Amino acid sequence: MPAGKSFIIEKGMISGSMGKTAIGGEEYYSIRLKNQTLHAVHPLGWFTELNVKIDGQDIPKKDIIFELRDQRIGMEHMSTIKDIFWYIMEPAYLHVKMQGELAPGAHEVACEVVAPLLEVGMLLDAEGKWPRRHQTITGTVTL
Amino acid sequence: MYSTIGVSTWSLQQLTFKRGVQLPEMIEMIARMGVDGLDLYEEYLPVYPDTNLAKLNEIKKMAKNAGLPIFSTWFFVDPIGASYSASLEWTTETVKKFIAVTASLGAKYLALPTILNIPGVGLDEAYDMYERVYEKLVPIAEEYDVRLAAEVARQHTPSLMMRLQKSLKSDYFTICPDFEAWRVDTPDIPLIHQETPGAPPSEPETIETFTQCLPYSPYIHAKLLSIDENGEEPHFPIHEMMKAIGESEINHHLCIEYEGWIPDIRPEDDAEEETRKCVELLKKYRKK
Repeated sequence: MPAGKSFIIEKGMISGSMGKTAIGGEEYYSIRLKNQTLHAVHPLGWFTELNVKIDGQDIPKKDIIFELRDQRIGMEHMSTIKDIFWYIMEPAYLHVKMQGELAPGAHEVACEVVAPLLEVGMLLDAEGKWPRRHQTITGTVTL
Repeated sequence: MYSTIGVSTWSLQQLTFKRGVQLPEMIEMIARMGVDGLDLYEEYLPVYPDTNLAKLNEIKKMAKNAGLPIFSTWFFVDPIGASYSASLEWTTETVKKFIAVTASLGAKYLALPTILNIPGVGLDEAYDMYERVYEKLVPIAEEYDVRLAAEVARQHTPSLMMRLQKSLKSDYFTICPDFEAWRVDTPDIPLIHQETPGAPPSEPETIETFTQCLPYSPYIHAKLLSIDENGEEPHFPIHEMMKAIGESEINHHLCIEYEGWIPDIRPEDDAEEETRKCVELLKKYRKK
């Protein structure tokens, strides 16, 4: 890993706009993310957590679906995924179910990315042997 | 002795983040820099989750058409971190795949990081773990005629790998000094690393240690972070390191790893322009 503390390039990682997607008869707000981790190629499970806040409100994992290449994975299960790799700069989507509607306009989105300090990009820390690295990415996203 | 110079894809990775530049364009850029070769890092290799041999062959052809030999590959796999998390067998099989990928690209070296951050594991125990892994990997490297290059970019790792080299006694286990282990702590770029958060700044290794590594180091990572207005890199003892390389008894390949583009250094600088400056810096100092 490189010098310094950041393991992600924050700028541009979260899209500037969000839309709405109907999934299973329910409405989700959809925010695009790009893979801007410095050593970028990882299976989805390398990210042990992606904790999302919208306008300061924590979104429960059960209300978030991560979508990559048309594959949708409940955030509660993402840390188990070994064989779906997220490549450098590849777009993915966070589909977020909110309690109540978001007003049109600008919203503050924060995404805390948590990953193990294990210096093996393709391996999951399924047994929780490693301390974690944390970085929070923020962006203003317009609905 | 003589040194060749190559540029790693890591040096230009900023351009993928900023402008979507992909490997074909990157190879052309590196060719225009007038260097001797190319070093390919895993972000641009079609190996996850499965290796795509046809795409690897296309990469090989692209490099050949650009007149650039592929000198090395690098994978984000700390061998003992992998053994600790998975198993020695998993690590051996995984690195074996990367050795085969390296051979199929016609590259001579496969670089792997050397990291000392397993919770509760000290230097001696880490050494034993590295010895167990590399004892398995060296015969595979010999079989494929690919040299393993243990990248030493942190305090204590050069001595650890020199000790291991003396134990393994194989030309297929080489030490890859990364200039980062010799970087000095400066206010603009403190000597801290993200795999050890909260740890105090480490100490740079000595030039004596660098010189001791060189007989076992045909392949070197020239990590560079910023070039000043005089064309110098003030964060490393470049003059001393390049003098030692020039006086070395073996030839070396210097792989430029320009890293100033990362968020904690100078993300506003243009990686292509800065990498060109790095090439000029090494050309200025290398012995011909």
